[in-house]
Amino acid sequence: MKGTLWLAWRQQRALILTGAALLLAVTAWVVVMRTGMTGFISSHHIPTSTCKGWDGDCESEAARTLLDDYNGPLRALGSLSTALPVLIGIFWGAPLLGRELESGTWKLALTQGVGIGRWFTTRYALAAACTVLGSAVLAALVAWWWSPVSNMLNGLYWHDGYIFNATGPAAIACALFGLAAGTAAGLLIRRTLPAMAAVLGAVVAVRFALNSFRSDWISPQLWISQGDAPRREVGSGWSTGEFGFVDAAGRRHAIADACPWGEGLPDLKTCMAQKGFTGRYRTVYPSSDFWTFQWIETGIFLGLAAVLTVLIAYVLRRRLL
Amino acid sequence: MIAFRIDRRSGVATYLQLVHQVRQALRLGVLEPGDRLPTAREVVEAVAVNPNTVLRAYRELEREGLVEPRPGRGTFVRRSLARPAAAADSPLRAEAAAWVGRARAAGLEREDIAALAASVLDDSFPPPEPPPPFIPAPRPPQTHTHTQEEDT
Amino acid sequence: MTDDPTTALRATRLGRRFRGGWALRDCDFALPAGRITALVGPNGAGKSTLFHLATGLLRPTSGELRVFGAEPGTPAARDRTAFLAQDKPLYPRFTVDDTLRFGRELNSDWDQASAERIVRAGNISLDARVGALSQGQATRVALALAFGKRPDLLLLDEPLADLDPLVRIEAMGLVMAEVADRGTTVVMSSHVLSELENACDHVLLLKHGAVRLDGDAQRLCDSHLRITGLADPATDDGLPPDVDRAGVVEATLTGRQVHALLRHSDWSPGAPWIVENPSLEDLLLAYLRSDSTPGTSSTSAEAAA
Repeated sequence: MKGTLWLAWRQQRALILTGAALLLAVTAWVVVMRTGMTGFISSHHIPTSTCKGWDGDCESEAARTLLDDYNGPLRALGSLSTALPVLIGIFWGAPLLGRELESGTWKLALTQGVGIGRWFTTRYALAAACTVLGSAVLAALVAWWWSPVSNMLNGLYWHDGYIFNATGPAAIACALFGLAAGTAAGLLIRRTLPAMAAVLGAVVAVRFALNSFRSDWISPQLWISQGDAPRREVGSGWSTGEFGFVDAAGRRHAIADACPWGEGLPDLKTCMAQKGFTGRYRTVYPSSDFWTFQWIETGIFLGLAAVLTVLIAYVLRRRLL
Repeated sequence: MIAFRIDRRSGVATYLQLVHQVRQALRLGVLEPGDRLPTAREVVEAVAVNPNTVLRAYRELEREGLVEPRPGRGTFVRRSLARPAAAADSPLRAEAAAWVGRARAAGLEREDIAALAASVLDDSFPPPEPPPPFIPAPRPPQTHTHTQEEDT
Repeated sequence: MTDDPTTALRATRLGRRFRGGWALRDCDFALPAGRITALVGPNGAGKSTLFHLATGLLRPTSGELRVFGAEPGTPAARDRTAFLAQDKPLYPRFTVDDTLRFGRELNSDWDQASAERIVRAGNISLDARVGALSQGQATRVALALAFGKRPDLLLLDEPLADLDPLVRIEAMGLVMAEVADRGTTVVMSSHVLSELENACDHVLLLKHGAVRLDGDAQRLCDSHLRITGLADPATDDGLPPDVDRAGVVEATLTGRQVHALLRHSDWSPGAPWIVENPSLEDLLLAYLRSDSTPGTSSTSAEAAA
């Protein structure tokens, strides 16, 4: 390695090697766990492919044991992958410029033969490459382990935070955002420790906001069942929790208990007829929306990362002091 | 070879301290004709003074005919200052001792005698020759104006 | 003018403002090449700001600064300049060998042999971790890094601060040896005026962000007079009436004695005055103490001389 790349490697190699070792250990653990899981599935003949959804056609003691045994570890892996952007922001982004500014070594680096542009670009690019690689491996491990038991019975579903935030392109984009946020915090705050705290707050806040507003990005599908036929099962979809009745004009009435039943009450059919309802509905995001949500959030995270990177470049160009 | 030392508080110009130390070494026989003086680099690395100060001292010694530069090889001692006339058992010293004894008998203090000697020496050796180092002079006035040669 | 090869660092109406106000303002000076300039001034006078401007780590708010005619921070200027910042930053987790490699990798012209020679001369192992070095050893490594770059202009911000007396001489000796070998131009700030006196042959004195004194050290001493004598009862300041008051740098009246530093004075006193040229330290101290600057006209005359 030559020039600024050598410097970037020399300064980040402890992080890179530690990260690689941890990733290797996690991979080994996942391989062992997943092998055990698939062994359990095949030895107990659990039909996982027909088992999707809450009403999956595989209710059995073995299936319940399977999920009881593996939901916890899968959640742990999902949590790790979800936390990765924060960890990268804290341990990689914040010190990337923050420690240089804090210790004064930026004066050493920037008074040598190379310019500030090349110095920063190389170290940032190396950190970004490692971030993409690390988060992609973790996201792939989550997807790989989860796939045999995905969207199954009371297991983990695609819209659960443990899965949605932990895998897919959005997880990688979020890690890049964490790096950019940490780097920007280190540059603007100029001290590593406060920058670490700031990036922790920033990434968690953005994550929380996105999780809260996720269902606002796109409209759910409207599932109508005519007459008093039972509502269509949610299956592996993501119910918004909104359901009710539709009238002849197609208007929706989100009152689930408009026609309660019980002792002395009219039956459902009569009640609906009395109130002019012609059918029942619920709104659901089908599992295919996973990718729509993923790409939307990927775009948001990449956009935020890009804005922060431009901000960093702008501040650096205007000089650091 | 000779090792220099600088007294930063003496008030004597640094280049003169170097000149004096070479003269002293020549008197004591520490340096003999043909010996090489340390290079400017060697001197400044040891005593942390401006290299021009060393060059100036060597120019002064060269002007006095004590040393000569040999291009590419260094600065070499040309002649010795070891003089039998100044030795401990020389008649001159005995005369000086007798003179000092008379001065004390006349009631002069040590400083008065030194000042008297310095004044006579000043008359005999007009500036820019500075007073010999063995006369303690607390911060002598730098009355002479330095020439422009080293200022360019 | 700007291409004058005998000028290493030239400032033209140079100014730099921070949120707190002007750190440097309207500074004009030209530091000669091949000389060792003492940059002197009280804390907050703008010395570090000037160093940061000269290395391109800061940009001027007004005016300009040129390093051998090039704008600081450009490749042309960066290649010729080495800077030792006040806190002597080094990467604490690097070994000494890594630190020298850092210099080699980031500079096109790198003298590994002399950098290693400087390190070895201090009995420092190349495998030692920088964070484990003593302050003196770290200074030596930092200087090796600066010299390995083969700079034409070496900027040293308080290089002797925090060093014990032996290491001070060692560090200064290293710098002087480099100057003797390569004719490097050095600009060095320090509060230790007595050390500057032996090392420096040019002076730039800053106070309150402005140039107060700029010129050849010897000529400055020669052009000033330190006078001591019996106060003249007829004047307020005790100085004889024929002394040009515009050239009085400082005057202290203590009882019947008056003690003053005069600039550019051809005043020749009557017998009772003790008149001598000040030492450089004495001169600098007088300027550092005095707040009543007698104009700047003669200061710029000194710079032009």
